[in-house]
Amino acid sequence: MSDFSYKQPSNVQLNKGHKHTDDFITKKYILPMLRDPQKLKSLIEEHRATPIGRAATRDHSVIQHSQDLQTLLDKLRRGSKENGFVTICLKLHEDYRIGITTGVRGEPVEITEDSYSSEEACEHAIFLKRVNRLLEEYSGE
Amino acid sequence: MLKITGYSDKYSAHPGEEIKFYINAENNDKFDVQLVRLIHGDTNPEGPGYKEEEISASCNGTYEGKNQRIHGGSYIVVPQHDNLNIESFTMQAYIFPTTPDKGRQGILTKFNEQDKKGFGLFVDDNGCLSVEIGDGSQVTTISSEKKLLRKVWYLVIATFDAKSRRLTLHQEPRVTSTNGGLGMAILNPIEETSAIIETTSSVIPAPNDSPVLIAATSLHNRSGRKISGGHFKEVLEPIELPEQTKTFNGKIDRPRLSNVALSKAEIESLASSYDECNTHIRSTVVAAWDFHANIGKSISSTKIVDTSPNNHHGFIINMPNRGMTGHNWTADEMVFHHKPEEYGAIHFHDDDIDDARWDVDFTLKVPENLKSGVYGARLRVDGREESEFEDYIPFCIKPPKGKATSKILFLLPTNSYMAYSNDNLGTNSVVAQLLAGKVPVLNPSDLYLNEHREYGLSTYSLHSDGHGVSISSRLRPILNMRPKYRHWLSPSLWQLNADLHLTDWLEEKGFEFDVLTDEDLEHEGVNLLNRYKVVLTGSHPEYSSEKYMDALESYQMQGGRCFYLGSDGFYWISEYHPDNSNITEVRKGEAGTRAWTSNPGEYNNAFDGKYGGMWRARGRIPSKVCGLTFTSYGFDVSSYYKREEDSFKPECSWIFEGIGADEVIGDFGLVGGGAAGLELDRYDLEFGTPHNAFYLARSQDHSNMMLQVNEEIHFAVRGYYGGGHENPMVRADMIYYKTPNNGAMFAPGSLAWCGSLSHNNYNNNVSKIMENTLKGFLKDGPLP
Repeated sequence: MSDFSYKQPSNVQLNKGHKHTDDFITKKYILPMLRDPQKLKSLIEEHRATPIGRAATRDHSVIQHSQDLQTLLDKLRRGSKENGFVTICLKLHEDYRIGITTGVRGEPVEITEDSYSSEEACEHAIFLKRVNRLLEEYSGE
Repeated sequence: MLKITGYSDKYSAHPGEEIKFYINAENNDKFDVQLVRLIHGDTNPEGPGYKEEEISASCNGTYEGKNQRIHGGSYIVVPQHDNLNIESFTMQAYIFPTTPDKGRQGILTKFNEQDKKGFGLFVDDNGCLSVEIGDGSQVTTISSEKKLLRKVWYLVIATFDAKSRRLTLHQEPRVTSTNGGLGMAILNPIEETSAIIETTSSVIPAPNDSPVLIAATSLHNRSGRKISGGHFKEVLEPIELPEQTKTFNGKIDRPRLSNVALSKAEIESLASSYDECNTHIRSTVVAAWDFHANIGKSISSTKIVDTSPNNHHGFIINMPNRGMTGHNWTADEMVFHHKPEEYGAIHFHDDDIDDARWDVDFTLKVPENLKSGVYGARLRVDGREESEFEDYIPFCIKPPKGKATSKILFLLPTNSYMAYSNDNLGTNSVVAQLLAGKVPVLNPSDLYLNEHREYGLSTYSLHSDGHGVSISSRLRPILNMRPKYRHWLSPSLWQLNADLHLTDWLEEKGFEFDVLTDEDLEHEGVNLLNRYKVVLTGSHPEYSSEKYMDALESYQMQGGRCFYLGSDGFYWISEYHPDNSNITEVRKGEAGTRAWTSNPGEYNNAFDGKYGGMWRARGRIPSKVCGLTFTSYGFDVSSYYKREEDSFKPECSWIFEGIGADEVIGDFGLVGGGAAGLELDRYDLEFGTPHNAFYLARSQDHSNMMLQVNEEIHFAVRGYYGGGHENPMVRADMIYYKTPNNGAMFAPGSLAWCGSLSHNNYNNNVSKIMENTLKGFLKDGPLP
């Protein structure tokens, strides 16, 4: 069988370019924020208060995330669908759950037990899980 | 998981006509049917709430349900014939596998997976070429034991001589500078993926009742489902389909079947052309299919031509892509019908679908006196209205044939609904949450689609092999085109359900209106529009055919008055199958806000042969027919408008009667909290906006999630790179212009616009602008 296994796969074959560059960006720009307790606390509070944003009105300009929070969210959102998060709406406007995707087409989304009363509450819960997961992923570095 | 799903045979019907409904009761449950008029589909408690009206109809009642499955995945069926039951054979083809590692896939088979009778050429479970011969009790299987590479052309061959029992298998890469499109041109070492196997087989293929399948193998030789008519108009007698399995992903070019073991030289000769072979070779050929044989004149045909005199013609099932570059594509020509012999490939996908082919469960005969509007067949299991137990099959009831029953027409953008059907992006797409600015919110129907890939995809999806989806059929349940449905991309609604914001407002304000679909316009042209004083589009009429563009332009020239009430309209070239308008095609070109790009040399539509992609590439940029062109998008939050100076001119001030000079317009709404959001359009004098257009208002204060469209970014540079905080191209322009013969166009330039109409019990400045303009447009005589 010529499965090319007689030789060590190259990093091109393993498609490491994106991963290694993303690692650099994460270590340089993301982890320092998350490892600063005060900064982390302020990012979490900002996201809790406004998980998605608020439209501009006659009373205030558009409310959007700070540059630091946006940089963090961009990193979290460009993650793989493998073991990824989605929001599941089990009952409109009442019951939202965290769903876990496998990244494989056709495989069921795991629906977790905790119920959230709004999309925004579930969005924030997923944010917290992602931040913790990112810190764990790079805990040895 | 969903208990019930369904679809209908058409999107619109006149009073007196029939609509057939096809239902899958997942667990064979009974189900209730109720005809309803759909009024307002948005369940948001901050708005007017969900509204429907139950309508008496003969089809209302309880039905025995049954589970109905979809046999997804494209292939070619060549009906069973005794001549195809051969003992010695040569099977040959060029193949371009796109998922060689997905497991067993049929290439060219006359084989039944259950009784193991027959013969076939496969990709095996190890990603290698293989041949199988079965006599019903024993099977000989030979593998190349060399892995096939993704996106590489191969000549693949299996020969068997029943007398000597000699069995051979060839796997031979055929890579040129151009034939792989974006695949490799340098393949080294080539031996890693080349094989020539010679052995013997004690097993001789047993005759069977299986059809010959290309790109699949038979699970059941007969399924009870038949093809004829519509896009199978060349089928002379209905052909019963098998139930296929192990469908192939990738391209196949020039498959041939002969009844002897040919030599390599003979195979090469036959691979080139049946007609150019010598008499000996031709006398051995059972079938020599040239997929390009009929694409010059009739690319939309579903017929596959056997170029031998044996007439073992086949048909494509589930609409794989034709007009695809073949093993010999040189890039000298980019248009398939200019050089069809280089476009001999068909690209098959295991998630293609043209028609679910379910049995009819009930029929609605549209009552004669029913007013035109958007309706739905409401289906419920156990009488429950939770989303898992309920489905709606929406459709439109038209006015009596050839008549208008109102002065206003709402043109339901069904072509765009089809383009977005069953996208599966919430679970598939890695950019979904970057686009949406939040984690995708999925409904039970999204979860069902995730696990039922046979329900097919949208033109925003990639097939399982990464190839873009360019064909969409509505002859299947489309679960994201439903009232109550909230879409992952939008802060709330999208397409059909969002368009009910408009019809609800029309009702609340007492405007009588008729409803017709894109498909009706395709069949009847501008004469259909000319029956109306005013035509309203939906919120996102993004996909339009050439006839649609002709009609919209002609209507304005002939004095018609239009409201273009969305954004990113008239953007993609989207054509109907000429023999079945339930099926549409779009090729996504080299630019545009899109989920994929057509491969090199594959820009032209198969359905009409013309250049596909963006209308602007064919000189019909949207701003020429509605004054505006798509400029930016962002799906987090919406924003508001402020008036521009032109709005105070005597020609325009009537539109703003009751609106203050410095009033903030539309800082409210059910779609992102504002009237300007999701997708925005701007005018552009360089792009054909009529030169006497008035600039009424402009949106501002958008977030930095709102970014400029890529087709206008030649260099990505700061200052024009970011979103609402630094890019003046990020805005919605509200414009108004007059056309000949007292015609006119009003266009607010935002996809979220109609979501603001119901705010404050329909008393708000967006509603007021709409009401002023609509009443003005309904008056006879010149506009101010």
